[in-house]
Amino acid sequence: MTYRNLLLPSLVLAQALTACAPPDPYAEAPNILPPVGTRASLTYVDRDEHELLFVLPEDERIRLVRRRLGDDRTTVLWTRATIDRDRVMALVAPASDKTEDIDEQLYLFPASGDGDPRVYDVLAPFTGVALSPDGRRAVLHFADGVGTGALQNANQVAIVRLDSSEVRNLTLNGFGGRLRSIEFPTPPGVVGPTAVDVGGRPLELVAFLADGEVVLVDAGNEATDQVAVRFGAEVGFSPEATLLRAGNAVFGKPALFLRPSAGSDVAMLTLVDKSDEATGEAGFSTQVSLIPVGEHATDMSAYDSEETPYLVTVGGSAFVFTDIRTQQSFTVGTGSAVQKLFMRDAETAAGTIRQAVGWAPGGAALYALDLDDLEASIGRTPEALAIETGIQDLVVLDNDRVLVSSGINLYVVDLPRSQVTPLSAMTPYDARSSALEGNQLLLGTPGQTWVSTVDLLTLNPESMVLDDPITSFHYLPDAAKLVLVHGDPVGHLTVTDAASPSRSTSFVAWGYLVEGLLDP
Amino acid sequence: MTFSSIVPIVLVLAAPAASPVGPGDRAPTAEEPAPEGLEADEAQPAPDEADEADEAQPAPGEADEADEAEPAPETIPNPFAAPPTTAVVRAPPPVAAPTRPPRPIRWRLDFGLGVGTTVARDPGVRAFSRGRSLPDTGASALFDFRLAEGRFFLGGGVSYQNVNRRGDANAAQITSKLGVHEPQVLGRVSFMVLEGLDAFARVGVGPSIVDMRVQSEAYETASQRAIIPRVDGRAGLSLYLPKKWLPSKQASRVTAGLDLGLGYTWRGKIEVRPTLEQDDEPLRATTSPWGTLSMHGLSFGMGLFLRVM
Repeated sequence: MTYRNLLLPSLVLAQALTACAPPDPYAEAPNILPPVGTRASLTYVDRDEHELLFVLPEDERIRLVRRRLGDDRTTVLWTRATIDRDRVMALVAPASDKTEDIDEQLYLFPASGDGDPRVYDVLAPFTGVALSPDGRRAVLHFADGVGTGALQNANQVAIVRLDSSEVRNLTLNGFGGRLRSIEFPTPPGVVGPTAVDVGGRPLELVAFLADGEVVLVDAGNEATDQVAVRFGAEVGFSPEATLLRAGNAVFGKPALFLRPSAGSDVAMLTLVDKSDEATGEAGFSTQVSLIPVGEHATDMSAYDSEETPYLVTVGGSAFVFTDIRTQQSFTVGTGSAVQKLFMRDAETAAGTIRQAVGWAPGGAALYALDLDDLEASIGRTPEALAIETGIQDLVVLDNDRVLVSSGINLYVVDLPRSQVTPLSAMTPYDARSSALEGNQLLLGTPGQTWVSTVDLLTLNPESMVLDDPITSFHYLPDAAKLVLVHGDPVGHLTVTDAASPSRSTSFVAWGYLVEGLLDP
Repeated sequence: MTFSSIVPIVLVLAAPAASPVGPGDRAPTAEEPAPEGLEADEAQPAPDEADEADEAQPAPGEADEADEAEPAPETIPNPFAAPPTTAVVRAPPPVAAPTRPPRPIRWRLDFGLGVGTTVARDPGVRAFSRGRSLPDTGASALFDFRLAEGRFFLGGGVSYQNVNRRGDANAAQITSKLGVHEPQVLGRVSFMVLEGLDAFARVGVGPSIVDMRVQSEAYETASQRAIIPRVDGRAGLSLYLPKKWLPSKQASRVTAGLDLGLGYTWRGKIEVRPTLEQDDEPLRATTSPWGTLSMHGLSFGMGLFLRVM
C-alpha cells in the first residue's frame, strides 16, 4: 500500500470523525442583558440559560444567586428595577410566534434574589413600563416602539399592582390617538400614595397622553369609567406633561394641568365627581379650560399663597404666576432663559417658606425666588446663583443642594447658603451618575477611571483611582456599596464602600458571568 | 511534527532498499542460513566457531579473484607450438577481513520521538482547544531486557510530553492557551512476534503540569497553573528493521523503527479558577469558578525510535 493509497482513507476517516463530533458548546456568545441596579444587587438576565443572575456584593467577595426565569420556549424582553429599587421586574414572552400556549408574564423578584417571585399574567409583549412615584403600580405599554407580535394594539396597557397579585388589562377608550407617554399625576412634593380626593373618594389617577388627547384612568377602581379628553385639531394641543393639584381651602376642586408640547396655553382639567349614568357606579369627569400663560411653558408647578392658587410656569425669561381661578397672571423676570423649575422649602427668619428655583440647560445661572407674600412684593427679583461655565445638566440632590455638571466642571450648589462650589476634573462628569450617601456625594461617570466623593459639609472632594474605566455606576444602599461595572463580557466590576471609597477596602470581581463555563 | 511529515521518514527507514547490500547481490556468509529473530540468534554458532567457519571458507575477496582466474584451461600440448616457457602463477592467499561477531539481543535501549493525541471526553476542553483532541509531542528513553532468553522483554524508562493548544469560547469573547508539560516514568513489556515486529504494552505515570491562560475581549488576562496526576496506558506494535536487513547483519547494534499505540490517558480534574493578572499596586481581585476541566480520554500515537541493543 502506497502513501497515496493511505491518503484517501485517512481523509475519509477524518471527515467522518469530524462529522460525528458533538457541536461546539462555545460557538455562540451568551445573550446577557445589561445589568439593572437595585438596592441590594446587580441583576443580569441570561437569556440563554433562562436565568436571572443576582450579583450581591459582600465585604470580601461577591455572591451569585441564580433564579430560574422562564424556560426554553420563552425569552425575557426586558428588566427594570421598581421605583424604590427593592425589586426587579422582568417581562417574559414566548420565544417564537409559533408558540401559542404560553402567555406573557411579568415576574417580580426581590432585590436579594431570595423568595419566590410574584408572577402576573399580562396579555401582550409590552415594550415599556411606567412606574408610579409611590411605587405601588406599574403600567405596561407599547411605548413608542413596536412589539414582537404580528399585530398589536398600540393602546393596550396592563396596570399591575406591585404590592398584590392584581393585574388589570385594558385598552384605552380614547379617540384614536396613539399613546405617547404615561404619567402618574402627583401634587408637588407628594411622595405617598398618588391619590387625590374627588367627591369623597380617593382617585388614583393615571394619565395616558396621546396625540391631541388624554385618557384618565382610575387605577384603584376597575369599575370606574375611563375619561377621555380630546383637544380638537383646531386647538393644536398635544399634552406632554401633567401636574396634579389636590383640592384645598384655597381652591377646593382638584385639578389636573396638562402642559402641551407647543403653544402658550396650559389645559386645566378640573376633576369632578360624576356617577355612571347607566350603572350608577361612582365615577369622575373633568371640566376643561385652557389657561393662557404667555409664552410656551416648558415646565410648571403649583403654589398656593394665602388666598390665591397659582400655576407657576417657566419658558421664557421669567417665572409666570397664573391665578387658576381668574386666569390672571403676572411675571417675575429673571433676565435670562428659564426652562426648568422645581420647588423647595427654604428656612428664613420668619419660618419655612416655599421657594421656586428655575434654570435652563445652557444657561449661566440658577434663579431662586422666595414665594412668601408674593403679591405684596412687586418688583421682587430672584436671586441669581451664577454657574460660570454654563449649565449642562442639573440633579436635585435634596431639598437644599443641587449638583450641576458643566463640561469638565462640576458645581455643588448649596441653596440655603447661596454657595456655588466649583469642582474641576480632567474629564466631564455626568451628574446623573451620582448618588447621595448621607452627606457624601458619590460620583462615577462612565468612561472615567476613578470614583469621586464630595463631602457636602466640607465640600472636600476625594477620588479613588480604579484599575479600569467605568461602564455603569450603581449605588446599592442596602449593601452600603458602590458597584462600578467595567466593560467586559465575562463580567468585571469593582466594589467599594459607599461611605468611604478607598482602594484598601475595595475589590475587583472578574469572570462572574462565565461561572460554570466549563460545565455546559 | 505532523503525520504527513512523519510518513516519508518512516518509509525511508523501513525500506529494505536502504540496505547497502541487497538480498540478491549478497555474498554468502556464515550467517546467511540463520533463521530469523531469536532462532537466528540461538542458531548462531559460537563466535569462536563462526571464526573457524570463516577461516574454513574462502574469503569473499578471494572467491572473486578465483572467479576471475577460473575456469582454468586444461593444458593440451600443442604439437605446433613450442613448449611453454612460463608456469601459471597463483596469487598468494589473501588475509581474511576481520568481521564483528553476531550480537544476540539481550537488552534494548530505545530513544524515541513521538506524536499523539488524547480525545478528551469533557466538552469543556473545547474552551481551550478548537477540537476535543489534545495533540502532544514527546521524547522518551526506554530500556528493557529479555526475560529468560524468551520472547518477552521487560523494562522501563522516562518520557516527556508537551501539549500546546489555543482555543476560544463564547464566540471569541474569551481566547485561551493551554500548555501541558508531562514528565513520566514508563514501564513496558514487549513480545517479539518476530524480529522486526513487537507487540507492547506500556504504562506511564507522572505529573501533568497544566498552564492555562485566558484573555477576555476587554484584554483582561487571567492564568492558572495546576499540577494533576496522569496515568497513561497504551498498547500497540513496534515495527523496526530486523538485523538481517541491516548492513552488519547479526552483528548489528543499532536499528530503528516506529511504534503505533492506542490506549487511554487519565488525568486528574482541574477546578478552573484563573487568577486575574493585574498591574502594579492592583486592587484585590476575586474570580469565579469556571467549572471542572477533565482532559482524559482515548489516546493514540506513533513514534520513531532509535534502538541500541
